[in-house]
Amino acid sequence: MKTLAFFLASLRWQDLVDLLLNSYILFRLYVLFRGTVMVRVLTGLALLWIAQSVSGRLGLILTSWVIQGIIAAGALIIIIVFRNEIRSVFQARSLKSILWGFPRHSVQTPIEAVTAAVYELARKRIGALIVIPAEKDLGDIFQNGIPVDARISREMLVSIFWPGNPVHDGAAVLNGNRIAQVGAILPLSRREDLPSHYGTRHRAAAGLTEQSDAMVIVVSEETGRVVAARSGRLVPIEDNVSLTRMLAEHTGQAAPGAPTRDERIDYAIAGLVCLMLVGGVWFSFSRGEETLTSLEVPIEYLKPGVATEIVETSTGAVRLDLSGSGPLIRALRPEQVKVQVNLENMGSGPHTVVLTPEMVRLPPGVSLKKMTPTAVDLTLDVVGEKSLPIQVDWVGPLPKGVRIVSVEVTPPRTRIVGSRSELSGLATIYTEKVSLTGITSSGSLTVGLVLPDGITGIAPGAADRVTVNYTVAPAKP
Amino acid sequence: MPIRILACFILVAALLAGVSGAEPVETPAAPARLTLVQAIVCEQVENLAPKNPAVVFPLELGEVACFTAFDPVPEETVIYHQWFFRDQPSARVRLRLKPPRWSSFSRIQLRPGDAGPWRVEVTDADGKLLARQRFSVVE
Repeated sequence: MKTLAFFLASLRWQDLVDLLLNSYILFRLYVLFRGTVMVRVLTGLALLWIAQSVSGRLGLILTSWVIQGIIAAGALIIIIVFRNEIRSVFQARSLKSILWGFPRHSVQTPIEAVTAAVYELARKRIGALIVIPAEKDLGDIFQNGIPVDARISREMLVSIFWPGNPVHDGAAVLNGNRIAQVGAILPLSRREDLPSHYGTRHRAAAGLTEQSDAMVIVVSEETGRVVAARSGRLVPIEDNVSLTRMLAEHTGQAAPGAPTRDERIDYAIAGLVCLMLVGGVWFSFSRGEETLTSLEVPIEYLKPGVATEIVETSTGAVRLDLSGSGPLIRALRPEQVKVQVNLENMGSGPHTVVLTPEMVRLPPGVSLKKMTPTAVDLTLDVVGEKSLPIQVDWVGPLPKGVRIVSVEVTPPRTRIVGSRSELSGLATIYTEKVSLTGITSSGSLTVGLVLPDGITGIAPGAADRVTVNYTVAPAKP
Repeated sequence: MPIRILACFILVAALLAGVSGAEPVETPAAPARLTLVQAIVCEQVENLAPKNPAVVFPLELGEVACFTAFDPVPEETVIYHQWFFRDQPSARVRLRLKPPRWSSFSRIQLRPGDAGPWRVEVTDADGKLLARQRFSVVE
């Protein structure tokens, strides 16, 4: 009980937001891809991930490694195989419907016409196979139907399956209020547990619904019985009321704008599972085994006064001993950790700043155990500007028989910015090293300046490069 | 003839009397100041004259001299040649000057490690900067 209380007390509001946000993202993915094979594949991947974690904990190195490989390949395969579903979800929907609400069909199927047609066919013992797709694109499963694009009506459906009609043996595929295809050949189920009185139509209905979220209505030619297939299950339909209700549920027309009771239960369970799954992942990341690490972090000094500069510090970095769960510590990057010292309101002169945990910025879930050193000595100085003459820094060797008799630097001076104490000791600014190699006659060159250590830089508008005009004369003995 | 001689004598006497009788005008003479007329860095000084002035000297030369000439030198005084290597003082040489004009020089011995930018500053007895010469020593 105490442990639970301690755990709840240690929860931050960021942790709750983290949990809820990620649970909702996962839940929305489920809602958007519900009814497609992708959900099943993702569930399989999640189970694989759990198996990999468990095998890793148990020290099953090879098993863990193999599962990890499968998961990595699986993620790639999902994107390639289910590209159509992913595209249809993100292209066909508005941002609002992606983030909120539950998908409904925009074009409603005339259920009554379908029900009337089915029972007329049943009465007349005419075999029929009617496919009502849901979310999943069936184009990948069969592509052999004859496109008709006719408006759904009882008469049209009955005439399609009328014996003698060239396409009466195949399936009619509905799409909203249209008959999209006729004469479609569906994939047959290979299940062996189907009742013996079920024929090829039933096997085709089971086969398609095993691979998709579509609903298939089968009218038996021999018995005149109506069977509905969903998710691979074949359910006998006793009367037209049941068929109407089932069709309404499948097409989302049971209660327009709101999920059905079954859907609500389904969504509630899915939401709970998402929360538990994300909670488990979050717990393993943030409250896993405690791990320690040490980092050498440079100190960042914030806002020294505009005219103030740090002249000297006793140390440029501090050593931080950090702790957190294994995954967080392993994922920790040095740039995520900062030690910031605010120098605002500090005047020039020596100061001792005591380093406190408040000055350390850490990513969530990582805590500070120890900091070394606990204080830093620094000296601040007022920033000033100074005009200095420029001298050329020649480097040899001087070519034989040559003498440089005069040098003119343009401009002869520049202005530099730095702390007063540093500036006071400077009398000259030197150029970058200028090689004498190859200099045999008078000429000119342009060269940059070298700033001494501790100097902030060249003053705005002052020269940072100079022109050197030199005069060469023959050497005399 | 004697009249002519007398007339000349009188004229000369009158002229002499006129000159000696004029009031002397005292014009205040400006005090002469110590003036540097030449400051130069050279390879060596021979017969009180700079030899091979330049701004870049090879280290193998072994020494570099700074030659200075003053005219006038109103009174006996001293000047200083201060040598700096990379802005750091390296040597300070005290040189005596005597009226009415005087030339003097100082020199530094070059050792390994002396390659780099140098300057020599000429100052008077009060430390007033009279001249600054910059040069480089190269390997």
